[in-house]
Amino acid sequence: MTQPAFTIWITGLPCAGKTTVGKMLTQNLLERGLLVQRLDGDEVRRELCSDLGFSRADRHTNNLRVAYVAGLLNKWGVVSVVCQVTPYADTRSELRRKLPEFVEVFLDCPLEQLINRDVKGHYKKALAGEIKNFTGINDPYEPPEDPEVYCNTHQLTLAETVTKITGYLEEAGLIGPAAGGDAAEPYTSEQEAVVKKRLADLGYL
Amino acid sequence: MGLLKRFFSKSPARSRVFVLGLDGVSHSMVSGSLGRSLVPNLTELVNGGTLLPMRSVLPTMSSVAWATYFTGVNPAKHGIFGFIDRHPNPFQAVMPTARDLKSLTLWEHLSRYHREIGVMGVPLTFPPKQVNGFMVGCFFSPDLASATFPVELAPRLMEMDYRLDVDTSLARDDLGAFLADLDETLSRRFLACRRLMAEEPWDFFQLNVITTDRINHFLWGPWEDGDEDLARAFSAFYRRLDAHIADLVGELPSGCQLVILSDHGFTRSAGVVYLNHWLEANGYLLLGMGKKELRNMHAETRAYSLAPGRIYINLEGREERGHVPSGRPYEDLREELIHRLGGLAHPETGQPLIKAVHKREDLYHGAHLGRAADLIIEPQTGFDFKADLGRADLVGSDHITGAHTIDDAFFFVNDIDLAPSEPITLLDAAPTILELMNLPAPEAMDGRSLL
Repeated sequence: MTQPAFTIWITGLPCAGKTTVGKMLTQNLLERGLLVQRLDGDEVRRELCSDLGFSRADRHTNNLRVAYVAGLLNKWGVVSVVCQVTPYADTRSELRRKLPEFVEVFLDCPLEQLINRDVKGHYKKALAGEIKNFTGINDPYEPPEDPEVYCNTHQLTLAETVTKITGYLEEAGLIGPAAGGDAAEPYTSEQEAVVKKRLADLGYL
Repeated sequence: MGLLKRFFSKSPARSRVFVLGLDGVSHSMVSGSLGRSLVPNLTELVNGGTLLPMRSVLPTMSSVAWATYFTGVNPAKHGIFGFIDRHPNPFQAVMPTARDLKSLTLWEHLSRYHREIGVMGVPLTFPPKQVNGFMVGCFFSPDLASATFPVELAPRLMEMDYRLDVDTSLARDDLGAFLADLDETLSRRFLACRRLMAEEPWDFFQLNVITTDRINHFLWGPWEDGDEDLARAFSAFYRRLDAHIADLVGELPSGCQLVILSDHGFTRSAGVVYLNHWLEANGYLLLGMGKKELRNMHAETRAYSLAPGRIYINLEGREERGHVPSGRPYEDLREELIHRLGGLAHPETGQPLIKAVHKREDLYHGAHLGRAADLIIEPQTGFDFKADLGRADLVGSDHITGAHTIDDAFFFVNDIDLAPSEPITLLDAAPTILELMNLPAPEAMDGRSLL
């Protein structure tokens, strides 16, 4: 029987870096020998949800459809990396209930930075009133309160963001350490000995 | 939800909070006649607000307790269960660090709301996290160079001869040197704090003092016994702490809210209980050939313990050489141990050693419950449970004469009258501090704001 896999759900405002982080994370996990499928917001909208718009109900349905696919993939041992805005807290709670192992990754970034970044020009249009229901401008984004991984993409580099996510997956026992052993250990053996002695002197060990 | 508003409207006046953490200082030490003699300034200070006794957590250890404080959640959510934890398969004892935290910290919440923060010396802050401000790690940091965020802070602290902890091995070998080290460590910490308070921008600042826990561990007995020199040294230490606190409070910016709290209380040590001795003597723990270490336990072991008072069933499918099947046999064994340990008494004095033996699911709830010990012992006051192997007796004593207590930590906030309807716990501190800063407490937090 295949070991069931898990879903990494990357949520955040438009332009927060979800697709970029998702791609790099997928590559990282593939290199570790895992089966991985990325489900990206734009592609899913085109292929699976072209009938849906951007109302609250439609966004909810869009997210649930993707979760269904992600869950099927998980069942056969494939890690799903989902990159979608997923703006509503109650939708994300439902995803958490539906998926067997749900890792919520919140890419946070101050809105003013995103407006500066605006790679697709959507913020500009939304601020000019040309796009309706644009998350962050005229549609709400409810930030996750307790995500498994929180990354401020304004402060972290892309590589640091991916390392933080894989670090969590390792700590949670969802994946093994990267081949060749990375620098994830907080202590060298000498440093660990120093701290252990400190605890031993206190009778804590 | 007003995200746009938050960035583009003028933000309301920010509230500043300073938190002083006093490790291992009991409620009774900062109130009443004991408080007036030991720390007179602090005792007067706490009259100008609300001082409450506060319950700590099980196991009552600084790392578990402070993690509970700064996440506002119970150990099965934040994932820290002791100074030592274990990977079951293959068996490996590990030392959890801040990287093992599974919940967001107060500092991360505040950073997300773009509050500027400074955190110094709070246990389980190594490795220091990237925050909107600065952090100086705790005594889990191997050295100062790796203890700070940002790294540029380390040389400034080195210049001030900042100390991460005292050298407690001195307490056994050279008490005079130990006392001098305590004073140096204490005064340098306050000095560094006052400089950073003045030089760095902050909305939230927390300074933790660890030397209180250290002196309590080693000098509690002589202090209670009225030992001529050591009792005087104990009192002198607290008077100096009291003066440092008065100086620091005098420098707080006007309107800054002050919170002072401890993570657990202290009492006279009644003895050290070697739980693995009992498990071995009663046939639950079998050690194979070779070095007496838990990783060499025999395949027919049914239970073993890690300090303090955490019992793991050698469960099939979970442990490296699991022996006890899950389901009924696992439950029966837990019941048997609860029953037998509940009556455990001091072999010489007949004193009961254990207040209660808890199943993990009765103490904790959360996603990481599966990593908690299967049974957690709540000791009778003063008894400390350890996991040494090869001890000749069930109960022993050593040069550590003070022991942690769970019920008499304290929480103080200035200028505000609080009248909580129920006794408070460490879980309530973080939601309260967030509310003092006009920020909402995340629903995932287990505690409640006391305001």
